[in-house]
Amino acid sequence: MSERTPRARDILRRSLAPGIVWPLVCVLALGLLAGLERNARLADLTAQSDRLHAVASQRVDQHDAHLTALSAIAVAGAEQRPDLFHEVAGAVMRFYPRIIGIFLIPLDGEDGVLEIGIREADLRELIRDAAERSAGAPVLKRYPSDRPAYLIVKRSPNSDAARYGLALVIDAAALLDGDSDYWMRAEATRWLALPDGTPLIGVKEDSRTPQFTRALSSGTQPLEFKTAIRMTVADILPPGRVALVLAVIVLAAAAMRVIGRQRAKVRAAEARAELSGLETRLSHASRVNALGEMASGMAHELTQPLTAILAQAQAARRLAARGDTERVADVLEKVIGQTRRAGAILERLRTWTRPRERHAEPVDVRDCIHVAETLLAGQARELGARLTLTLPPTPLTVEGDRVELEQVLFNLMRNAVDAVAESADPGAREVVVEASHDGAMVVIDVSDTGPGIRPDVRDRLFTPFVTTRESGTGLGLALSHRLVERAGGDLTLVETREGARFRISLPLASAAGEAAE
Amino acid sequence: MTAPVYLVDDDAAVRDALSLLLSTVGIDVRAFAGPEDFLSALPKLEPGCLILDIRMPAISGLKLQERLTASGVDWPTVVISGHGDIEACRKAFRNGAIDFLSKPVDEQDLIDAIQKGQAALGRAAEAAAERRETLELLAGLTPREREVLSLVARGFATREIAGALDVSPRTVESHRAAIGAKLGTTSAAEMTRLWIEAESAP
Repeated sequence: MSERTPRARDILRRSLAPGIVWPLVCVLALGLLAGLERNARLADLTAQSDRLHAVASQRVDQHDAHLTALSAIAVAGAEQRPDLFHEVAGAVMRFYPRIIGIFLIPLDGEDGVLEIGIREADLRELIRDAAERSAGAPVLKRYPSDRPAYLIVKRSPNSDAARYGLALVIDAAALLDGDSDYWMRAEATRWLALPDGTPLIGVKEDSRTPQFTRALSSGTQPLEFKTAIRMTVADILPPGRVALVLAVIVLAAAAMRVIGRQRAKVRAAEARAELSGLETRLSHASRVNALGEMASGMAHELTQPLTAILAQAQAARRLAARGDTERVADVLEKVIGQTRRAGAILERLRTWTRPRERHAEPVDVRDCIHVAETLLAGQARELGARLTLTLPPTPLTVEGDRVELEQVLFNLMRNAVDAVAESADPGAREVVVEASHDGAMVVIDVSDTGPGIRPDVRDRLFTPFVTTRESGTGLGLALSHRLVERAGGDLTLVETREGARFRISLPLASAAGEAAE
Repeated sequence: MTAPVYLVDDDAAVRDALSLLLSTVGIDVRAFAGPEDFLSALPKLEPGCLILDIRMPAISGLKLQERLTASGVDWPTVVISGHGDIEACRKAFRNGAIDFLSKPVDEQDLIDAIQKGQAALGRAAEAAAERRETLELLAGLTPREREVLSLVARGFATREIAGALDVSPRTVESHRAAIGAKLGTTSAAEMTRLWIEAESAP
């Protein structure tokens, strides 16, 4: 049979003990939830940062175009037409509010300085210095103020013969300005720095915070762009969802518990049914088995009355032919007696072999002892055992199933007969059955002069499949014990100096009746 | 045909019924409840036919049969048994049973078996009587005559016997005539038969 399946299931069920497993399931579920939530937030950050990065990159590219245009105007005639430069610069700043200042600084003196938006004398030196050092590419400088801004400085014209330093002051905050309110959140941070690492704006999160890092895609202004999202436990484990998950788990646990209990109940009921069926079959099988063992004895038992009947009938026929009717009547009486004897033997055979319902009734145990004796007489004679009954003249009535009690007595007496058959001295092969009542109990002792019960089996006498006989099934005593208990009594082994003595104690039927009243 | 029948069976009903049946046929039956009873009564019993049940407490029918054979009681025995057990049947015949019957036993089979037994008893009695007679006849011979008879029985001729006994052939002839008169025959073959019979007697 599939023994492994239930065992595996048992192990699983045991390990599913609510104390360990359900908290574990909760932790796993919450871990999974946190992981998913964190990934979702990170993905959000990446998407938003990507968009912002693209916008910012596009914006800084425009600065190159402005510089080129303004440089062209300056070279064409800033000195002659400063108003034109002013006009164009003003237009640029109007359209692009992030450009907060435009400077055109002559490299060789203070004449012709054009400052739009911001007027700060300090910046002139800064711009002039940067333009002189420029090797063609625009130079980026931090705007020397609290305002988050930077300067792009270019020489103009862009050659060694440069006459001006041209600069745009860009507001970093405006550069990162966007239509998304994602960046309004406190936990979402942005950070912008010059390529040399000089910070412009924002907060730089430490590396443990999930981040997005990419320089702006611009040849002239590859500004360092970083974003980050701070996540608290409450962020990745939103209380609502946590509550939902926990509720689902608790419900699942409860459901499994209910299902488990239901199944355990069904299993227990099945096991009980199987057991009781088994017991019935066992009881029947044991009786049939016992019957098989004594079948040869029974056959002999039955041939005796048949032999007598045949001989008597044939004798009667002769007497009748002779007209000796008086003796014929005598003989016929004997025939009847022997026929009854045969009938009784057959009746016992029948009740013993038929599977039957238990039927409690008042039973005189003396009758049961006689029945067992009848069934065993042949076997006992063959084995040379003397079977002695010591019974009181008055009935010993108990409440029980007649056939079951007969079976118990048969088992005990047969064991006793088998035991004495092993005895070396043929004169000492004695089996004594004594019945009496002791107060409200009927006590039946089955004693033998056999070798007794070995100490190693003494404790397990009434355990099924324990046997000292080679051909024994080990069921006889176990079953007898059960049957006696079922009748409200007890079956014990009594200590004796030699042989074995089994004692059946059963409540007297009248005593049981009085007690009930 | 009037030898008694001894029935040994431990079942009282069977014992009574078979005794009754046999007595209605005019057979003299004595029943015993067990082998021990029979053995203790045996010394006083005259030869008869035995009917033994095979299955009995302590000593089985077969054991009893063996014991009787061992102690020289060779009365014809009929074994009856509750089952037609072939092994028991073979043993019974090996022990010298004249018949083996299964229970329930039919009267005709039983009576036939008993008659066979009684016939055997009769033959045995006849043979014993004959042997007794022969011994009596031979007892009438003188030692010299017996010597001559033994040589005749061994097939020696008169002259050879005379040579062996160192007497004349005529003397041997006269001894032979005396032996013939006492045994009632002149045939050398008949004399030989009587001699052998006497020699083989227990």
